Order: sequence, then structure tokens, then C-alpha cells
Amino acid sequence: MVSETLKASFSLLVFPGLLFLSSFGMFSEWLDRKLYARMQYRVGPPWFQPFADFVKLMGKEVIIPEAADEALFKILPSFAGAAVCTSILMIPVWGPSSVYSFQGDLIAVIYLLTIPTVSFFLGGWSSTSPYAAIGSLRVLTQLFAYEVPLLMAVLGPAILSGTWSITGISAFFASHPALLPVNLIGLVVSLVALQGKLERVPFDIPHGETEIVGGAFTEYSGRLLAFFLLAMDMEMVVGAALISAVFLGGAMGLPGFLGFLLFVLKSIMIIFILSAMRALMARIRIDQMISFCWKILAPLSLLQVLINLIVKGTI
Amino acid sequence: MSKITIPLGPQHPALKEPGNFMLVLEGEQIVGATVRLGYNHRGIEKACEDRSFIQDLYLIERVCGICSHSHTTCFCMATEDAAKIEVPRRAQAIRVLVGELERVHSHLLWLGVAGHEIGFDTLFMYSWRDREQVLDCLEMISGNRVHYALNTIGGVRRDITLEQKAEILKRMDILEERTKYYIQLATQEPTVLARAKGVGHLPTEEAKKRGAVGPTARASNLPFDVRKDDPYLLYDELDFKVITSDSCDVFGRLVVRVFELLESFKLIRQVLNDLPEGPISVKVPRKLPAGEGVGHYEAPRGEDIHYVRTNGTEKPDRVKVRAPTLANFSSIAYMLEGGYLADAPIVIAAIDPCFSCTDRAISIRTSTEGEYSLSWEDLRKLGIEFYRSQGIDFSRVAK
Amino acid sequence: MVRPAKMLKELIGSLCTEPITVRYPYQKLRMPPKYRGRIACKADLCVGCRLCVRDCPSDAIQILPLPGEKYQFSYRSLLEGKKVNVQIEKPGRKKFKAVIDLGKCLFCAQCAESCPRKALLETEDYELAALTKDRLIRTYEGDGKTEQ
Repeated sequence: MVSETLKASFSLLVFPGLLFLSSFGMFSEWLDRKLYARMQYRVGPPWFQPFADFVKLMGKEVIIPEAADEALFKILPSFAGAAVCTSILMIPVWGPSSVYSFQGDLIAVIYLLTIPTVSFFLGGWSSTSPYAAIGSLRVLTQLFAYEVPLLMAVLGPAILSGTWSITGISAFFASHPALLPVNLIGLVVSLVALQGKLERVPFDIPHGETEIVGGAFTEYSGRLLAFFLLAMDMEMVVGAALISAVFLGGAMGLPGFLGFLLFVLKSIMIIFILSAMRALMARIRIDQMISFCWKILAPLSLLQVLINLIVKGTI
Repeated sequence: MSKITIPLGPQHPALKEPGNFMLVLEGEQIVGATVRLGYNHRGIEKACEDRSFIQDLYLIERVCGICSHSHTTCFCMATEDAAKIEVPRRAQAIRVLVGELERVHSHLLWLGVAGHEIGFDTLFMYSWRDREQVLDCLEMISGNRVHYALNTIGGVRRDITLEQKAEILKRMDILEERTKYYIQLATQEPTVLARAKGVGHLPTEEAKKRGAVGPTARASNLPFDVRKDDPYLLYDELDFKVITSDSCDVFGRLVVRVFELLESFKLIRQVLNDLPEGPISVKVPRKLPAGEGVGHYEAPRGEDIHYVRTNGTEKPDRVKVRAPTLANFSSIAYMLEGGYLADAPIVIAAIDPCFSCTDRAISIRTSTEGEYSLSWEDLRKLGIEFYRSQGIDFSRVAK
Repeated sequence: MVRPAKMLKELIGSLCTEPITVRYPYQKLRMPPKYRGRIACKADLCVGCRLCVRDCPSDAIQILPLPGEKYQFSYRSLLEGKKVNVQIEKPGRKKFKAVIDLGKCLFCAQCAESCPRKALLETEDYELAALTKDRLIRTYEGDGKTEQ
């Protein structure tokens, strides 16, 4: 009983939980910023920059607007962080199996990843400042736009492999690597939808710096802001891990440390693609985003599901 | 949905300089906009009356950082007009050269700022990297990257040597290639097109009614360009086109500015290959004779007008500066209404605002007559009388 | 014709090249000749006409006279019955010193242009930051310079 609890808290807090996620999150934020800068002929920050930003923000004063609901305001960053840490437990990181896996944990992970978005919305709404209100409305509107294509895109591999658990899906692709290119359209759709979930250009509308100052985060400062930003970094790692496990075969059956290395390599590749997307495009408007997601991304993901059904029928 | 009023306030990441736009929003749509100015008023016109003409040159130069040469040249033209001084041809050619280099600098800077406003930071970094070429040219000629201080009353202060000329021509070739790349990028990148087409619509009639000038007017199909309408310095001998576009929106303004870059390269090459010989300035007495002078100039943002009145001493009696952004201001309120909040920064940035130039007005009340205003007919008659006395022929102008 | 991801080729190309940022202060840029940096004065050539003071837009320069050299000799006075020291100024040109306040200077070089003896010149010095304002006042005497 005690060893179970110890094992659970180790996984949740150290590996692959809070400590591992926050350091890997800071590393991936550094990688993203450095790649973004080098693509623009600039130098980019040194490796310890995200950590230095975190430490600086922890030391600053927290100012809470008078009309805001104080308890809700303070507790929201921890909601976001907790949801993201829980979701990594179901994605295979060390070797081909995750810490906890059960049928349907694919849906559970996607559900857990919407909790940070809802907490951004609540954070902006409870700030009661006009910029934050508009930002939080945009967060919810964007959620309606990208969530459906993302869910349908990950549905494809689930249908092909016949199981609902992420560990099962990556084990299936590890044993049938020739079936990986079938999911190409789904991979592209889910990368674009992930860019929307992480609120990065071209979809950083809720956080649009030149339009609404800080969006949902306008009134946040000090350690609350530090934890929100850390939650966003961790979300990037979890999103990349989810895509590599579902579409790219995860650890490919290799045990232990080699599997972990492969996981890190695939995450870095996905982060590279995300940075390139960030450098290539301008920010689009919210109505243009909704029409883009519903008119282009959703039909593409439907097409992917159709292809997978046909392939499943033939093998 | 209820209406909320958001201040796109004096301090905002979208604005490079302070100005206040109170937007009344319903959801994401703007239903009303009020524009307020005045945050950058420094009392320059009054300060000019206390200083001699040579000191005023440097004060007027600092009205704006990017159009500094426009303001100095316009002031010099107004003073030389008032004191009836003839400027040698070589000095005029050098003024044209630096003016066109400044136009290149300003339009490249605008391209970067517009990219930043729509969230396209890569375009921002790339165009500012190319702007370094122009800044190096200007530093080589004049000694400073902005605020070139090349003009003096009666000519220019520094000459251009042959190796500087070769260096400038080399850099213009590099820049022309990069500009063609930007033209392709602006017309083919789907996110830029999505943000710029159909945004900030200003139809031709409205632009004429609200007195738009510069690229804002030219993008609404009004071919107003002081270099062609009222040629000054050497522009009547040079060959260039006035670029207009009939899309009347932000995309049109982008296209007009980028094509104007190409025209400026052509002008710079023409001036450099054909530089007239001669002195670079004439000696001007310190006390200028009494008179009035007006100077027009096509600054990168539009038409710049200076008025100088001298009274026989070494300090001017009255200096008035009307910068182009002030003329474009009333168009902003029209363009913002009916648009989205997300479009507000790019619409404001598309007229290339320079709030430091703008805050200049003083209203003078005389104690005996009180404040009076001239009607449009009276103003037009006053203008015609003034120009007739200068010997300008009106037969080409329609009634 | 709309082509998404048009800049991709250029982006990948720039990943492989050196960044163009100048890593100041480890790398410094050289200024072109006739760059308008700090204005220096060869006070030996100055005649004290003060045209520079008149033309400066911001009252940044001041010309102050230097006390001239004096002959010194002593003689025994018969009237007073003791040694008397006398100082007489050397005849000849007066000397001046220039005091430039870098905090007010616009670096426009109008003073350099107005000077009839070409005593003021533009240098290439642009690293002029100081920790207190009085360290910004530079005095030029003779041919050298002292900070104050």
C-alpha cells in the first residue's frame, strides 16, 4: 500500500510528472525561441533564459485588481499545472508503456488538456478588465474552432489500431510500421490544431500582443503569471508527446532508456515544425480562424477517418 | 450584446507614439471611434521664435525622427522663398538624393512596423535588416543615421565624393532585389492577404472630402503627389511615376509604398549618375529681409507644408508647420468604424502615423477681433491671390 | 496566386548562416570618416570670436579666457626699502579654453562649421555614457583634453 502511494507520488511529482515536465518544458521553450530567432538572422537567448524568466517572475509583486474574485484568481494557475501533470501519466515516456494506461485514456488526455484553456478563460474573466474580458472570450471561441478537428484527427489512428489507449496505439504502430503513412493527413491536421491549442502564431489571437495587450493574462503578475507560463510550456511538451505517440509510433517497442531517447528526439522534431510555422505566418483574425478550421481542417480530418475505415476494412 | 468602451490608450503596444483612440465595441465589432491627440506637443513653433535661423534648423529637424530631412528641407525652402535666395543646382541635387534615401528608409521601416502589427515578426526582422543598408549609406554621407543635418540656409553642408557614390549605387542594387522579394511575399502569403485585403476601406470620395494626403490618398486612387503637382528642387527634370492603387484598403497602401520604393531607387540612380557641378551653398546674411515664404515637400507620409515669416532680424517672426499625419487623421475615425477590434492596430499603422509631427497647432486669439474663421471660399480666394503675386500661371488649372 | 509558406526556403537558409547581430561589446563597429561623434577642440587655434556659442542650438559650448602667462621679476625698491615682486602680462595673443557639456550637445557640428579657424572637429568617439552628469562636461585646453 505504502509503496503504491510512493510510486504514484514519484511519478506525479518527479518523473514523468512535475519536475521532469517543467525542466523539459523550459528546455523546449528555449529551443523554440532559439530556432525562431535563428530563422530571423538573430542570435536568440542563452540556454538558461526560460529558467531566469521564471525566477524573475517569482520575485515580483502580485497585484490583484480590486473588483476581481481573489480566491479564484489565485488558484487558477495551479489548476492548469495540475491538469497538465496528470495528463503526462498516460502518455508513454519511458519505454513503450505509460505509468497508467486504460481503455479510453486517449479521450481522457484530450479532456485534461482542455482544462488549462478553461482556466485561462476563467482567469481572464475574473480579472474584470476590458482587455482581459475580450481575451478570455477569444480563448473560448478559439476552443470551439480547433477542438473538433483535433479530436477527429486522433480518432483516425485509434480506429486503425482498434484500441482506445495510447499505449495500445503506439504498440500497434511499433509492430506495423508500414501503416504509418496512412495517417499523414491526420498528422498535418493535428499539428495545425496543436498550434491553435498552444496559442502560437498564426493562432495567438487570444494573446494578441499588439491588439489586446495581454489578453487573458493582462492582470496577472508575479508568481501567478510564472505558473501560467510554466503550464503553457508543459502543455507544449504534452501535446508534442501525444502526437509522437499516436501518429509517429512513440517508442517503437524499444525498452527503457532507448525508448526515452526516441521520445525526446521525436518531440524535438515536432517542436522544430511548430517553430517554423510560427516564423512563417502572420496572425489571423478570429472570424477567419473559425472559418478556416470549420471549412478546411474539419473536412480534412473527416477524410482521414474515412481513409482509416477503408484501410481497416481491407487488412 | 452590451457596448463597452476600450481606450486604445496613450500607452499601448500597438502604438509607437502616444495617441488616444476611444473605441466603442459590441463584441468584436467597432461601432464608434473617437480620436484624440496632443500627447506630444512640445511647443516647437513658439521655441522657433526665440532662436536664430541657423539654430531653428536643428530644432525643426527634431520635429520627427524619420522625416527629419523633409522638415529641414521644407523649412529651408520656405526661408529661401521669404528671403529670395537662389540655391545652386548641386545643392538641390544633393537634397533630392537625401530626400529619396529618406523615403526608402521610411518605407522599409513602415513595412517592418506593419508586419509587427499583424503579428508577422519575421517580416519585421527581415525588412529592418535591409534598412541597415540605407542607414549605412546615410551615415557615410552625413555622419549620423537619423537627423542628418545636411541642410543649411542657402544649400547643403557636405558634398558627395566619388567613392560614396559608388557605394550607394552598390547598395541600391542589393535593396532592389530585396524589394522585389517583398513584393512577391506581400502578394502571395495568404495570412498577409487575409489581414490586409478589405480592411480599413476608404472610398475615393471620402478620402477627398477628408483631405487625405500621401500614400493614404494614392491608395484610394487620388493621384496627389507634390513632386508632380507642384515640382520643387529638381523634380521637374527627373523621370518617375506616381503610383496609385484602386483597392482603397490597407493592401492598397502596402502595394503603393512598396512600388514607391522601386521608383525611389530609379530616382536615386538618375540623380547620382547626373550630379551637376558647382558650389554646394551660397553665403547668406544673418539678418534676412522681411517677407513671407511657404514651402511644400512630399514627405514619405504625405504633403508637408511650412510657413515662415521674417521681419528683418536674425530670428523668424512666425513659423508654422503642418505635418502630413494631421491631414490623414480624420480618415482614421471613418476607417475604424464597422471594422473589427483586431484590425484597429493595422488600420492605424497603415496611414503611417507620426504623432510627433502632428501635435503642432496653436490657435491665436487677438483681443480686439476675437476668434474668427475663414470659409472655404475665402480661403480659396486668399490662396489664389497669394500665388498670383508669386507669378504662378493659373491657365492650366480648371476652375 | 496564393502560395502559403512562401518564406520557408529563406527561413531554412538563415538557420545555417551566421546571425547578423553585432555582439556588442565584444564586437564593435567602426564608424565611417566624418562621423559626427563627440566634438573636440584644439584650443591653441581658438581666437575667442565666440561664433560657435552664437550658433549652437542648445547652448552646449562655452569659451572661457585662460589667464595669460606673466613675467615675473623682482627688484629692490629704494622708496620702500624692500624687495618687491612684479608681475606683467606677456604681450601677444590671448588663450582660451572650450567647455562642452555633452549632456546638452546635439552633435550637429554646426559649431565646427561656423568656426573661422577650424578649431573644432568631429571625432569618431561614440561611447560617451557616464554615471553622473558632471562627468559629461569636457574641457579642452591647449591640444589635450581633461575630464571634469
